[in-house]
Amino acid sequence: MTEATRNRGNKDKIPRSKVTRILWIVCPIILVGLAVWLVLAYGPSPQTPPVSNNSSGPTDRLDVVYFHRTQRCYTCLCAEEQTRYTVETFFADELASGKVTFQSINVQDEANADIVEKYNNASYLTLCINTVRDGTDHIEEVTDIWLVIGDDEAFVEIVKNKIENSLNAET
Amino acid sequence: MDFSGILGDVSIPVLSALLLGLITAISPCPMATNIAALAYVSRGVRERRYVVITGSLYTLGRMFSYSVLGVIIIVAGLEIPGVASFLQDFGEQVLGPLLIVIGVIMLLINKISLNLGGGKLSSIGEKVANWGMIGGFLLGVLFALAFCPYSAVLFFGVLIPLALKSTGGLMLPAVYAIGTGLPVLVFGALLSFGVTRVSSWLNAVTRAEKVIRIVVAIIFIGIGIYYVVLWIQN
Repeated sequence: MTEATRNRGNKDKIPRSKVTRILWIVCPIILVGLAVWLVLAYGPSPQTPPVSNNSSGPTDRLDVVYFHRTQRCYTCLCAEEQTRYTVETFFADELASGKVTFQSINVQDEANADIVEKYNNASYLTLCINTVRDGTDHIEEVTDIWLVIGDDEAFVEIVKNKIENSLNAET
Repeated sequence: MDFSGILGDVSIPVLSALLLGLITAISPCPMATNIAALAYVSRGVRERRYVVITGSLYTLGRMFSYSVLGVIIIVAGLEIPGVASFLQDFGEQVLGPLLIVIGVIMLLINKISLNLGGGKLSSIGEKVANWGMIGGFLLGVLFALAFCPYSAVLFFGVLIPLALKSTGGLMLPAVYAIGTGLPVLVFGALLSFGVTRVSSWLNAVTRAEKVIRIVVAIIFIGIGIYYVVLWIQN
């Protein structure tokens, strides 16, 4: 579009340029206004108390289960690799004795339907830790890891701490 | 990218939602759609006003989609697994072909206006420019719904649980959307500012814009092919 045609367009269609000008002013104001209003209206919320572990008895077994889809992306592969590394490096003895297990499950594979259903119908990338005590499952989803993708050290630390806390919860 | 410290300490869910949106926007997986969006938003790069409106409408489009999702999950109580699976399928299968089609249409429109820059067609050009801004909104709606594995876990696995336990949680998806759209808006405006200055020095604004439109179309087709290849590989 040349300058001449643009000018002609503006002259012919004054309402359109008015609409554009109004939109130009209104859109950013709406966005900024909304953001400010939200922060003011929904300020600090009460902190939720930590979930208490009310199960009793020693840990029989701890299953680390990683759920993914058929199509893998950088994040999916990276998270699985780091979780596997954590389990194999820091819990090698437990892994060898069968006290700790690690599984990577494709949620889109029909063969895995049972385990997917057991873990709350996992439908996206999910890392679950299932602590089995007295034959009862205690499934916990680890979500903090998704905020430290790219920081391998922090990722490993989160997974390691979660497993350790779950293993030692009753002692 | 260690955001856990910031997020862990934050007792304001709104701020957490905004940060989650930013993480989504700059993470490797949804980056492809954001580059396409940035290219689209910066199309009318000569007019910063156009870039700001389109960028804002793109963000509003994302807000619309995420808010609707938030409502159907939080209020209507629709099961997350079904919604998450469906939208990830959508992201894998529909997005690629759609981007290619949009890219080809953009190329064709560009070609028509290059060949036949007559009076009648210039008004069509105006209409296309108008549609371009509305297109920004539609693109926002569409790109928000096309979930990558990583954006899916951040939205369904982190944001929605946060929204479910927060007061005013229903608003969090909208704030999350602002976070996902903000980089596109900011970089679009910066790009526009830069190009406008450079181009005016070279006195080649119009030529630059035509080239940019072709590049944008090619970016759409390229990213579309990338998604299709990913889909076919599995």
